[in-house]
Amino acid sequence: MRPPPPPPPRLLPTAVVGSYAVPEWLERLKTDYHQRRLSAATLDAIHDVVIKAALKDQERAGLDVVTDGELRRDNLVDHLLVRLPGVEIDRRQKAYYYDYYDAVVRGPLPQAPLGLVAEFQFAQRLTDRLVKYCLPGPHTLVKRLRDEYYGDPRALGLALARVLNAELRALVAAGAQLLQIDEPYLSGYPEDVAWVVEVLNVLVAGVGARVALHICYGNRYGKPQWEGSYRALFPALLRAEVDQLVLEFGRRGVGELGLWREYGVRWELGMGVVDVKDERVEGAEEVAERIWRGVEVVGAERLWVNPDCGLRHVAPEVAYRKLEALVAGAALVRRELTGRADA
Amino acid sequence: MMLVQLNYLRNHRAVDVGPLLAALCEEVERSAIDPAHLKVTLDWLQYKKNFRPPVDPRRYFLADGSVNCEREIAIDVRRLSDDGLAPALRSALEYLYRDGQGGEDRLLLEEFCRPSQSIIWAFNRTFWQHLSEWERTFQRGFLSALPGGVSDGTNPAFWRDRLTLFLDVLDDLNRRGLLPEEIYVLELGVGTGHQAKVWLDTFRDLCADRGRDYLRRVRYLMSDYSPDVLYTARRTAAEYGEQVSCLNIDAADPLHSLAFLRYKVLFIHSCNLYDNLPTDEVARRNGKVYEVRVRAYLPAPAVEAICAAHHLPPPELPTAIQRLLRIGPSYFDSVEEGVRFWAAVWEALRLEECYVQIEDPSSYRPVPSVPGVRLDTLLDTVAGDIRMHLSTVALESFVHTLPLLHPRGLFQVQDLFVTSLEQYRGTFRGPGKLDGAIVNWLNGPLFQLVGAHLGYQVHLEPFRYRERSNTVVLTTSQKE
Repeated sequence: MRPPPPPPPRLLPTAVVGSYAVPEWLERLKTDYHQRRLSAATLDAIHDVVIKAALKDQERAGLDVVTDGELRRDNLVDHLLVRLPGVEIDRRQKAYYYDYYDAVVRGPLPQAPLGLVAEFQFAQRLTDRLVKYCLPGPHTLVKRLRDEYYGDPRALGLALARVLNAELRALVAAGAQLLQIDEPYLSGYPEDVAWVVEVLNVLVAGVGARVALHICYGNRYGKPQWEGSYRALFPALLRAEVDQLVLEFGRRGVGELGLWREYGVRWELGMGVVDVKDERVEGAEEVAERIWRGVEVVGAERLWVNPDCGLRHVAPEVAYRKLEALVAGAALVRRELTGRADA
Repeated sequence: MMLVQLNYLRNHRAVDVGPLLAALCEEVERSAIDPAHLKVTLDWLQYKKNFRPPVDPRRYFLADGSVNCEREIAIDVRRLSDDGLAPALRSALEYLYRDGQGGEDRLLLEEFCRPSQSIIWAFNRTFWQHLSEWERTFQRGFLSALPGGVSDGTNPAFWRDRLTLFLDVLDDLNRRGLLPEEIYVLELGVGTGHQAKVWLDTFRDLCADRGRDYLRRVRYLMSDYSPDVLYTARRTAAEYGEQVSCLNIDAADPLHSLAFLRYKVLFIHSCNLYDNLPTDEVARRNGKVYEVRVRAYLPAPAVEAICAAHHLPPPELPTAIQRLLRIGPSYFDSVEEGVRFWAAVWEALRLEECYVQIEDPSSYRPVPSVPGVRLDTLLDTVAGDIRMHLSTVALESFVHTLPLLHPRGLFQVQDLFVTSLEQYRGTFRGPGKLDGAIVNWLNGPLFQLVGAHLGYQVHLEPFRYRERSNTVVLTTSQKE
């Protein structure tokens, strides 16, 4: 059993899901690195600067919970795969930075530190806001890995979960209070949910921080990879030992909030109220209206507010304005709930 | 040294260009110009009706509008005639090396502009808006203008294969509980409606073979910018009743009208739509990159003939043309006379071309809505001089259609795609005239580049269901 999470930082905390807007020029530089036109040291220095800018943007927008924008990462998984001992990547060069590596497991995965703590600490040193650290979950990694050893997705998932569990514990020891597991493939493979829950519980065992689980419909190239329903994941998902579920409702509407009531869900909800697949910037009132629906069903004390997914593919100026709208919408609801103008 | 580029060698019969080259050398020598800065291209324009005079002189300009020292003459070897050759070459050389803007021997209908902005597209639009009047006047359907008189869009074997694949997708979604209640199908540019009918008939038969009830869930959306075309198409597919809806939408931006279907359409298709949408062109000459600019004109003899035939004083001709394009052939007392006037102007219509240098190709965005796509990325894939289409509005349409596609949906375009940039070197790729419409080949590699930036692999396969077909089938798949 995991200890209960600490109280939220405030009523209706506002957060990003994970990634922040990647400017076109940064995409070009990342590709330049993969094509040996830019050194790793130079790219690292550029990453440090853009992360500072991303944190500043999130603070200026008024978020309570920030991330490093995942700006060091090429895509959802490669950043982690290159750190996992036992995962072999035969060809490191990419035509385009966002492409996936062809990664393969040819033997048992050994336990080893992955070096994610330093990244968390870098961001935490730069802000007084609560820093969320996100990483792809075992199911997502299983879907991206070529398995030539375990021969069973569940077995590979369990092996990954054991390695990542140690890293989550190290992050907590370094001060992380909010960790998020990203499983965007799950909505496309609802038939996997039973073993995924088992694996997730191994992943988070003994992790003494608030653990969120993010499930969306994919955001590769800023478009969904699947369409379907969260319903297919219930009730099996309810056995996951997490504290918060982070789901998308901005793009798809709030219809599936009913699952919360139908299944008596006990978790917090990180409610996606801003569509990251549309450049249109929502108004504060529109955001507030969605939040009210969440408040009605989940309760204000268990509701967190965030975009549907990462903002990686949204133009930087649009991403910032969407966050402003999100914060303003949450403030409208908070004001009405508390009766305080400064809420 | 004068550079002569032979663009006609592929797929065409041998041409004796000896007399041409002799006349060319003689005229160049007579004019005392520097041949080092003169490029001559010899083309074979397979479109019998097109916008080019047989000998077409082109000037080069710097980005600030000043004249560059480079010159070009493009010659259509298909229309070579020994007797008229020398005077035509002399006239072209005079045009290239004299000061001033020219235009004395022609009626200019516009200033130089990007090809996609030219008045020729107003003629194209008029054709589709008033198709039935045109067809009535000339007693033939527009399909008869197609090579072979047949559209590859209605080939039953092709559709059986494609829809079998589609049914596999539907079955998989259904098995996993992910199939939406309504199966949206979108056709862009509907022609006569026969493509919709073949689609629905074939789908019905395949569903019956497999014992599926998907047909009742199909919502088939026929979309076109011409109400006239939609009306005809609707009648062709009438037996499917309210399962078929007609939408009058702008092909350049389907998402604007259909935003409620974002990521919901399971099958999107079109046939010979993109090749009929406005396009720009770029060219690289001696390492420098240029935009092609055009201005439409009518040659003086044609002006005289049209005015005589339609009892118009020559000064009133531009106004008559503008009103025809705004109102249609009913601007004339008799619609048939209006159509004949329109057809005569269209037949005579020519484009004068020039090149304007692009100073920084790395900052040139061929598809403004996808800023990550850079022109130099495309040009870097091919060496030497080349001229290519940018498929301007077709790509806008592509970019604004993909967001409608369901993540497991099928996207399919049957059209005239160049599959390798090298193909721009061997054969003329448009613009040509087909009846009252325009045809341009499409830059397949540019579609692939744009698709990749949007997360799609773009596949280009030759249409293998009819011999000697020029059709290429574009399909997409989600990029990993």
